[in-house]
Amino acid sequence: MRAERIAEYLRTKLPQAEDVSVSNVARIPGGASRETWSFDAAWREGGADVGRGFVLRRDPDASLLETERDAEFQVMDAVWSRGVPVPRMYWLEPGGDWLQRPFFVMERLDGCEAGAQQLLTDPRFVRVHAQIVRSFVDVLARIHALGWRELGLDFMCAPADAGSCGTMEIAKWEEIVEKQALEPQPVLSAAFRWLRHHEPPPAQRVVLVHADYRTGNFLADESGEIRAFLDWEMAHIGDPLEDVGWACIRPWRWAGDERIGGLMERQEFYRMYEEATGLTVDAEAVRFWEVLGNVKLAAIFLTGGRSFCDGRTGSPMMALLGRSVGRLELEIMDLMGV
Amino acid sequence: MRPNTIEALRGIQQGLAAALALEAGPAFAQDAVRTSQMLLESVIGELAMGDANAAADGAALREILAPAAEAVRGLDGALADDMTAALAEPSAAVEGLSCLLERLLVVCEDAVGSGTAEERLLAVRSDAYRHLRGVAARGWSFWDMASFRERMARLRAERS
Repeated sequence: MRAERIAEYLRTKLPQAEDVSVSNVARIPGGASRETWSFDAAWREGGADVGRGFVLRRDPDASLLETERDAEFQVMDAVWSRGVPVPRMYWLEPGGDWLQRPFFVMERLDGCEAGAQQLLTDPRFVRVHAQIVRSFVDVLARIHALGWRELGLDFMCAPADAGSCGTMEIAKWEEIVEKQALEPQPVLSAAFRWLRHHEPPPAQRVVLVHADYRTGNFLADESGEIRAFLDWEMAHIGDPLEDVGWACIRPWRWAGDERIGGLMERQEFYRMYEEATGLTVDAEAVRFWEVLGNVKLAAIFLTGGRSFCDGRTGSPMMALLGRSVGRLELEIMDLMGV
Repeated sequence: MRPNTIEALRGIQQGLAAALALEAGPAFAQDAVRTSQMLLESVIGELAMGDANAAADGAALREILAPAAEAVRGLDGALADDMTAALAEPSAAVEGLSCLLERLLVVCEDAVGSGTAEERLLAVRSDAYRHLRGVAARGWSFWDMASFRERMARLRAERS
């Protein structure tokens, strides 16, 4: 990734800017479904010096998930307009003319922390855990209160009715497992049958679901306020309890105990979410979404493993994840009660 | 005796750890080295136990599928026939037996879900999941990543 090439791109996007320069281009770890790059840009505008930090997310050669960058860009742009904390979206580039592959550019938020280990162990953040928990629930409630049709998000394939949210997600992930698996998957196949026999009641409200709402996917500042929720690439229309279940799954309990997201007791999370949304958290429905969440994560891992084996990526992370489905299967079997 | 495969891989791990400890480098490079370390750990675990596990899995699958053929016949005759045929073949591969186990569990979950599972099918199902739990618990996984990263970060901090 060359700084001068990014600067050339910015000149086309900021025609009023003079002396555009780009520095400190660095790849950021994580974000396995798209490459994430940080850079600083400086220019002169209206006689004044301007400096700004940006994040650029570029399509990879191969990914953990094959998702639509255009949809992610549109969703983040739409929710930003309603005050949901997300980075401001600037430009979407659907072709490979500029940087070999499609990408989008968004605001960089400095002075925040996203890493789960730091958020859970660094004293600067430990002392504000109560505020982070409050913010975590409030942001989720705000997302679930958005009118997705008014936001122009009806291009996203919505379930036919409130009763088919679970059915639609089962079908989506079953298709991915069938396409990506390289060997027999007895636990996942059994889990799909279990899910069909344990579908939850109709969604109380059909909402915009973030679908990756968890510790490790937000930027918090030292006051405990969540300044941005990241990674909207799996967002879709569905049952709000899907986000509740996903937030609860064991891989995101980074503290190594039963606390949800490493931050809060399960009943506390349910109570706060109910107060913030007016919805009821049905524990059995959350169990369904937790089983599906673990299956979904396994499907994502299998996709990474497949990309590695097909030679579409040499990333050691893809190879590692492709070999790491076992513990998810244990969790799935525990949740199924078998 | 020359270093065996596992010992050589351990050497690579130590080399990477030393490089990581001495050269801070960009965050992305550090992360890539740590991930490679974890992948090596996963491979070493499999190399150490791979042959023994494959033999044990083959035997366990045969034990599970032997009574399953009759237990499932009334629900899925084709599956029962395929099981019988596979078990008559002494060299049947573990992957082929796993495919049959997958089909068996689908039938089991449908029977349990519809409340039509008989006792002997429930017993087979229980044996199948016990085996799968043992398989799933093996080796290095995503589960262990966070603690491994923490350990590496500590090592780097100690050496710098």
